[in-house]
Amino acid sequence: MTQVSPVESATVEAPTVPHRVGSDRPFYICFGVIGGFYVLLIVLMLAADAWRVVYDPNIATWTSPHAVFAALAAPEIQYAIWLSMISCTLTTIFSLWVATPIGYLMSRHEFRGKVIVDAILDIPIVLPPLVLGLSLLILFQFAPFRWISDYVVYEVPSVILAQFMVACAFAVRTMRTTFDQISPRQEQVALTLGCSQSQAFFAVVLPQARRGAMTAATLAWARSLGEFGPILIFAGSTRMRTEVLPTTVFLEIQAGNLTGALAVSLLMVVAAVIVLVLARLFGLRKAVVR
Amino acid sequence: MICVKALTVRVGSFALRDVSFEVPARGYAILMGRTGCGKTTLLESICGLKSIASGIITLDGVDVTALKPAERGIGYVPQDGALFDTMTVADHLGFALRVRRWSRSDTTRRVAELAELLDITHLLHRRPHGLSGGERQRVALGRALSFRPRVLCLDEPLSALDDATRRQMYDILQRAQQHEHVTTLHVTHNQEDADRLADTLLRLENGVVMDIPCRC
Amino acid sequence: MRPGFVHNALVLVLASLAAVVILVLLLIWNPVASSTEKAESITVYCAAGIRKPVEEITKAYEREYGVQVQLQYGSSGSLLSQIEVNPTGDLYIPGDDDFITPARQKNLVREMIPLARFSLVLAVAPGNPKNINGIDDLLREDVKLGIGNETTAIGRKTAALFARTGKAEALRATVKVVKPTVTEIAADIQVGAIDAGFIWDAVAKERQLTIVPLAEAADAEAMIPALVLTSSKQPAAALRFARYLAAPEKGQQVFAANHYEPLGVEPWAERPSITLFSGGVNRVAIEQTLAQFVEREGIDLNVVYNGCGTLVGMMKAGQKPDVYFACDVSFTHDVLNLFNAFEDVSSTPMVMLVRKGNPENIRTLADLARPGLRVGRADEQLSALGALTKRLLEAANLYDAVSANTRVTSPTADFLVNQLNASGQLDVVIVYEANCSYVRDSMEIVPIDHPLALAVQPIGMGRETRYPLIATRLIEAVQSDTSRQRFEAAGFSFLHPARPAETVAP
Repeated sequence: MTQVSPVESATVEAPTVPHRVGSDRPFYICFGVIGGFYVLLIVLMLAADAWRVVYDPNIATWTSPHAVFAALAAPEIQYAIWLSMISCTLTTIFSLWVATPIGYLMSRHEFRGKVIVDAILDIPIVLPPLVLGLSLLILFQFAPFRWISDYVVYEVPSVILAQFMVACAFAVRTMRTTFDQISPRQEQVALTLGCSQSQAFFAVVLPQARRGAMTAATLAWARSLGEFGPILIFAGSTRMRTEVLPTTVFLEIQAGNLTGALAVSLLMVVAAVIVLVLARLFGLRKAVVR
Repeated sequence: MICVKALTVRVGSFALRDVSFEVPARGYAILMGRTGCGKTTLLESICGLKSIASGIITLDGVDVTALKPAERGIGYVPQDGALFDTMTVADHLGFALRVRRWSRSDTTRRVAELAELLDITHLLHRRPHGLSGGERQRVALGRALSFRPRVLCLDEPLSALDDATRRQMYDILQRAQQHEHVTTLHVTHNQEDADRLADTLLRLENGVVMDIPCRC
Repeated sequence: MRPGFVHNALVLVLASLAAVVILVLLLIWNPVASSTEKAESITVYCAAGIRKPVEEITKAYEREYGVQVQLQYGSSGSLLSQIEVNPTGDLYIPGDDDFITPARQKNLVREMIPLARFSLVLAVAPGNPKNINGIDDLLREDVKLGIGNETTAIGRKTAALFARTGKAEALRATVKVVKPTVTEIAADIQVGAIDAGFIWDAVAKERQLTIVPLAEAADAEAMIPALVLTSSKQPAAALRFARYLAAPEKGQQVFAANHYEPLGVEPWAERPSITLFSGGVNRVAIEQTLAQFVEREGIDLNVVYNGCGTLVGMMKAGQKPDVYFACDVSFTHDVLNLFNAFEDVSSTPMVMLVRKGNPENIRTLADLARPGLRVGRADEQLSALGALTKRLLEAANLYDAVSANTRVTSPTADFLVNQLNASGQLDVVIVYEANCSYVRDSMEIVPIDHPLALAVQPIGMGRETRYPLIATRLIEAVQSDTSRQRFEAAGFSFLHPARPAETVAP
């Protein structure tokens, strides 16, 4: 409708020298170096750990591999692995159950006190781990929590609850961002096509949130795998019952068993990498668009 | 028939005030107006997606002001089509029918019929990713028409298309409207749309809808 | 018909629910943890005199838990001989506490759980027709007295009571008949063959005889204990039944109904759960002992290892552990009101930990002041070790000089050990010797010759514990001789006087 005036365009003359663009190589080298530095740092750190497990520089001797394997074959450690894997997966599922509705409501709706709710949702992230554990303990001294305290505090459910408190906060953040990025338009169309809110959500929104949900799940899972501050206080460190891998690492370090602690940590890293890679492969496979 | 009386909608600081107009049954109305004048807001209000401050909306004599979007029976095609990324074209056409629990055979028949009408039979098993602009709009149109709505609301359905495709779409829109007997409200800022399609021409300016005698 | 969209949601929700159920089942069915095998049958040697209540409780127990209890009756003494000759079976319930000492001496029994109490009384025919009101009335010509044989508990208690009255001779002379068992004396009173007899209150009440209150009989009491046999191959099952007998809402009801005074205090739970707070430093020394204790007792022990500062914080926040094993006495001061008296279990000296071969040649505390030396210490405010280190250095007049050399302060001793171990930035750290058990081969320990270089670990039982007996046994296990070896291997000195693990405080 508006037309550019021909007078204005004539005032600036195009330069006579053709515009040239330099090589793109420095850009990629620069980014590659910066990115590679961080990746390398992570890998080297783990390599140093592994080296320290097999070789003790203080006395210049090799740790017998038998000792390392014996540590990992101990039923306590195996139980800790078992419990870690299962509790983290449970925590992840619970986190998604909770994070999906919260993330959706926070993303789609405006309501009175939303700012406050938003701040509350961040509390588990900013709360120091020890305080979180202590707060859970204190909470379970009051009814109605007190009534189930015997089945929760210092028992396996407390491990899951402690993990859940933190992991869920991260899942909520991720799910909210996910829903923020999904245009409400499709949902509105679904509504005009005869869907109720819940039908529109489950048929249209949720399938699109798949990738985000996957991210939320891996984040929650990884987060709860590393969790130990609240667990140590809220669940204790009873061997063969509430001891998870990070607790083992902490206790071994506290006992001065550096080799054992590192061996368990490496095991944890390996387990985590396997699970996360599998989850991504599995989770994204079905999401590939035909 | 679409009848809007004294409609007032507020969106933040922007507002449509006291808008009234009428589209005769089975008519094809084109609502013209500049970008940002509230056309989309008006459409969304009619579809029930935006809560209105006051006013009455009736469709074929039925007051739908208090009804949910799902109960209004309006086929809605938003500006970008808003296709469902995770579904095939066939799923799109059958979506509203499955929500309404049509039988499987009825659904299949209706999907085939629509695909024929809109010339997208060859696309039925594709997903939105990779469809051309015209194909997307035809799928969106098919989805909106699938459940035989009384009213069709189109929000700039042709604005992103090249001229050739656009002309093709004129034919398809006309064909569809005749075949489905829907009352259509089509929002656009393009005069050619109006020239080719409208039997009623409306203009939204400064929050007021004016009837313009049709040129055709 | 094509399923509706709620179907999608349902599939999602159901799938995740199914996943949760499977995971929870996996948690419950735990392939790694060895499932404690439930005993199918236990053997109990029970004194015939308390057959009635024990049999009744046993039936209820068998019904409730499907465990078979083989009851063997006999006199307490003969049962003891039987156990001695043929050491099998799980539990021994003698008629009174006189049998505990001989059983202990022969090392036939371990844990003791008090079940009930009864006392020696003077019983007369209902309504007291002979009007017997005191010891002196027994000396009357018209009163026929019956007592128990001195080889039995009742006889011995009666003789002791006679001795207390100061009229033993006269009383013995007036005795009309001596019978081998309590029941016979009671029967004789009932039929009027004798007018008065010394029997147990439980029997007297059972037969509805009248009891004459005697000042002299005030503390002539006996206790029925349940003793776990050393020979038991399933001590957890034996202890579980013993706890059932002693549980106020279970066995004790029956004992009370049979006119015994119940002594049990611990509420019934098939697997009682008790909580231990322990300083992280102590873990290496007690872990094995705790595992054995749990295995033997068949209980759940919740252990919370943490820095003692954190543990004290948790207790102040309202946690009430059944047992608390502190890193140092200084960590008990703030929680004394929660615990019965603390007992010192072990101590560990403060030492200087250096690299293998002692490259800086550190021999005495004074060497720490040498210029250029890189010292690691514990934080004075955050840790007991830090406070003790400060006290030590001040006493040795080295505080300022060593402070100048201090490269790092850490909140706990283990941090220091790991910092020395994992980096080359420190030459020496002052830690507890107990922190060094894992680095003995890769590091070198230089002792500090100073009386202040010492931390002491006390243990105490929670005042409000629901399981005082189990808690006491746990503390005893920590103080036992087998535990001593583990403490010493971990670099602690054991302070508790040596005593056999099976001894139980009366």
